Amino acid sequence: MNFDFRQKPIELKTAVIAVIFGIVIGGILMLVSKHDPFKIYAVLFNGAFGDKFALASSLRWTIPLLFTGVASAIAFRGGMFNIGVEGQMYLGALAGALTGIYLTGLSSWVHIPLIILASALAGMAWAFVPALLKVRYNASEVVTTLMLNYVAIYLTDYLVKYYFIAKGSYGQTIITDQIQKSARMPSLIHATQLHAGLLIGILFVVLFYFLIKKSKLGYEISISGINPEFARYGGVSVNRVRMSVMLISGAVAGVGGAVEVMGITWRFMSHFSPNFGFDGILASLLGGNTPIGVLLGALFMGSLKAGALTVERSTDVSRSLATIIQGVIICFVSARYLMARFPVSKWLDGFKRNNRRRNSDEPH
Amino acid sequence: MSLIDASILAVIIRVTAPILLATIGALFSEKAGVPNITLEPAMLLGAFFGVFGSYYTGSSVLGAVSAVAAGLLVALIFALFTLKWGGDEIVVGVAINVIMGGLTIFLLKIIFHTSGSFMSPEIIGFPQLDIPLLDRIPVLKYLFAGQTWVVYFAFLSVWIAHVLLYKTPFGMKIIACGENPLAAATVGVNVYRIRLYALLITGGLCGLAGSQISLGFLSMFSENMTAGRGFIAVAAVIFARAVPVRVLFISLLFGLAEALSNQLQLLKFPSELVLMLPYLLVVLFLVIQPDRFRWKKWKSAGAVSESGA
Repeated sequence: MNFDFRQKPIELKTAVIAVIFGIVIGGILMLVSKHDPFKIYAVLFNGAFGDKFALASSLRWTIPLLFTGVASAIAFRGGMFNIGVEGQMYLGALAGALTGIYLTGLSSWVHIPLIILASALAGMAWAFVPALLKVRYNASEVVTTLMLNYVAIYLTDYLVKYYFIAKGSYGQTIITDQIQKSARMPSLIHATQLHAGLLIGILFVVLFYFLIKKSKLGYEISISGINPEFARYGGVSVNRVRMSVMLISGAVAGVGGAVEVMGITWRFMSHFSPNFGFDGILASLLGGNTPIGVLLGALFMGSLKAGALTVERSTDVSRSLATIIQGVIICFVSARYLMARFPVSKWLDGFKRNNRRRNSDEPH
Repeated sequence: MSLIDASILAVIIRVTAPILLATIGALFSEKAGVPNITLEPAMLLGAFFGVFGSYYTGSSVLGAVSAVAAGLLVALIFALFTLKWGGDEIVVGVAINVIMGGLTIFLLKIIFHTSGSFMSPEIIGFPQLDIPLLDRIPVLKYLFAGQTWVVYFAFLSVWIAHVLLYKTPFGMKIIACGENPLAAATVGVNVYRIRLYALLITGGLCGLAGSQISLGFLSMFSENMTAGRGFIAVAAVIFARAVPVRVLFISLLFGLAEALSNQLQLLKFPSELVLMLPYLLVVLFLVIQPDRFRWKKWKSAGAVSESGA
């Protein structure tokens, strides 16, 4: 089956207009629920950018989205709609946590890379299943990856509950023991949750850039994603490309899970991810699946999340408001015909022309 | 407690009903050639508004009506963004999944001032109907006695869908739009309108399915309570190659898996493993009949790509 997802370039103006639509619709929802949108948005903005702690919080929520965003973008680039990032992340987090708990006596410089390696392999293994089903049996990866998300969450719960449960926890909360000190990410700003995982996340965005722009595989990924028939004609094995993008995508997602464990939770916790996978997909789609786009998309989604948490703390508006706004934005990003009705560049041209005329009309 | 007794038969039928309704809904989208993954959010919003309508009106029928309306709303939004504004069906579908997941949590908080789940004696569930003479029929009495009217309607909908799709001009138009939209347009079928109607049927049925989940047994709403059944329906309809009667049997199979996992949890069996069952079943289905997993729309493209491989 040829999955009809072809990545399409997204212009900056589309993203901006979609964000405006998202904010307006979010505002309407607040009005309907009898809140002052301006007040709530002010709280949200303050919670995302207001002070040092707000900024740290925004960046903290950006970190996992860098990984899930890059993971999604690589798969989308290669024409695979991998919505199983969430599940791959769970497997990576568990593998990372176990490596962090049971390997002892190492320095951080050895321990953390080992954890990253283990989590990448686990994520990769989980992504291998839908990839194989796709290239071998033509099974739609949209359905299989999504189903495997549920399976991943139950499977990690099961493994932890029956084999790796924390001492003193009798199945009430499904958590593992804490990871070793050497496996923990150093904090970047004291007394905040911002940790060095940010640097790893940015490194992955840079690697994504080099992969897609500078390597042969990247070129093959791009043309297979845009036009698989053409790619085949040019001698590219599209199935190999699809397998590769899924494996890379799963590996990156897995590392994202482990980084969350190393930086924030210090243990594997059941349901640790508040939908990082889907948020990453949205970040990637908002950013047009380009490296810089993913970076900006993750920053935007992360700030929105941080702001929404502050909103939830100080008002009775649920944090899910942010989720709704994110979803609305992606709907509008995708709405090509609607966006064609906003010829922004033409307006800008007209604006420039008017300015020029006004300038030349001025008396000398 | 034994694994299989007569009561599990009734459970199977009860839990099959929402999956069956959603799968029949998916059938219409599939036949019309629209890759629609907004069944899950339509069910979820339907489940919420079923509770909402029932709580505020005191009538389970009005609960079902508002659930159907919610399903239609989801379908309308999906149609607006994809059919009218040219959005990618999968991208918009994923986005609508995200939106409705958030919206139900948002509404739970502002309407019922709670989070997680909402339960109240004032939510009127669907009444259990006792059909006269049914308790005299040997097997059927275990299956169908004391079910809600939505359950009866779900099983009836298989027949309705069959008649509607294969015996009416409207059904023929739907099938034409899926098989060959260009040819359908050439002979004067308004493809967009037919697809809109098909999506609305899908949305309405999924809304009703949602209300059976929230009002059919426990009369409560909880976050994400549809738990992927909308996606199971998508997989089921592909597996059944979009034939109504096969849809019935596939749905029953998923109902069986769900009922078994409910039952096994009561025994000392790791519930996590059991809860995976329906999802693994979907994946398994995708593997054992690869050729049948083609959404109509991609049939031609797939054939081309394979010959080129």
